[in-house]
Amino acid sequence: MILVAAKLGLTSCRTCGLLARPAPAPLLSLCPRCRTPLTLRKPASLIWTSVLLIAAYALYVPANMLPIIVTERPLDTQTDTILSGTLYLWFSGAWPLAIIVLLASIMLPLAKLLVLTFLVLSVELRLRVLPLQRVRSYRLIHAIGRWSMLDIFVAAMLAGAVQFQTLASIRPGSGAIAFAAVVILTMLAANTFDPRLIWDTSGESHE
Amino acid sequence: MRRVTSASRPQIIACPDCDLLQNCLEPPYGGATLCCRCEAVLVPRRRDSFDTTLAWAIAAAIMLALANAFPIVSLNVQAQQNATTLIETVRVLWQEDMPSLGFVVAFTIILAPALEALAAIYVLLHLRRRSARRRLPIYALRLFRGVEAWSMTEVFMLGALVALVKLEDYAELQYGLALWSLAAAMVCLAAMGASLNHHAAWARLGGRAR
Repeated sequence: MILVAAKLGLTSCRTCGLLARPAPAPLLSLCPRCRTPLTLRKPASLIWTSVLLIAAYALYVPANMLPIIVTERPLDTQTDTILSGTLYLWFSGAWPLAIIVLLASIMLPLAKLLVLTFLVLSVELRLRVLPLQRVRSYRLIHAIGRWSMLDIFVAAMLAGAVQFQTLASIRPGSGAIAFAAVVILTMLAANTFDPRLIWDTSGESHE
Repeated sequence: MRRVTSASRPQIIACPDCDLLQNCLEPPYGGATLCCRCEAVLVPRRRDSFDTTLAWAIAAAIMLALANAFPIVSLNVQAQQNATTLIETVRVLWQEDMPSLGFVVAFTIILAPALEALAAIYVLLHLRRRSARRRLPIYALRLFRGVEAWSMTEVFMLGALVALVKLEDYAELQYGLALWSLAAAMVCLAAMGASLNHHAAWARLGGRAR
């Protein structure tokens, strides 16, 4: 017999792991040990995750199309998107770095968006497919999400270092804000998604 | 003979990833305890004593202080020189009309790691004295858990590396102390996070059940 805590009205505190019984719905409960809010499932998990994902999708295209770095010289101004920056690295010989930036800044946010979308849809449509693999992919996405911030820090570092008024000056482009927003939104989306929903809807908890 | 503490008595928990109720036993040395249905880590691999974690936390705090006080790199182009510190990087973002980006970088690179190290130091110092259950250390450990996910020193290090490789072609680079102490801070923060025994910390902070 499979015992699911929520069916018994119990839950492990998300901060300290203490098993406790939260008070029924309208009352707000706090963990007796660490006083974090206690709920059976993350509140409005699917709604929050969906909203954050939609916002991230909306900003994903501008993030890649708008320039992330603007190089200002006395005679000309040059803009670089994430993609053109990667190509520059590749053709100037630093191809290991080009691959790293390609993976972290172009593939990874897209992968996060697609995986989270699939997870939300699979729960919403009550698909019973491969719950173990789904939760594993959730854990992976959750853990490596922060590495998408790579290009933001590259831009920040370049802007901070190259500040010569007469020769050249680098400043971040509007694409940088959009890209940072995409990364943060996907990180928040992964935080709001409750993986326990995968098991709730995959039919295993029927008795 | 092993002393049975509240941390080592078998207890029942609900898996954080699949909500299955199960017995959560202490793993053998070098092993981890996994959820029997979804393989989530319930009790991580061997953690160190609070003193070890405290040592790493203090080292991290010192390294972070150095990383902020000194420049990361100095560029020399045609007799002009520009030294970059972490705060400089944030300041440029503020100046170029991007305060939101400046805040994000400031938080993930300066504030979050500092809060992580300081919160850990406070909690661990409190745990060395067997004082009664107090509210502030509990909030400090919660702060530590919350801020841990947003502390991105290692991502910044890789980003700085990529940027420096790009810059090598243009100017003469002089690497500053902050680069090395930031790398050291990255190692210390990771070691601190890996050695902290959350389970035992919560058991001690929680005090006796009412």
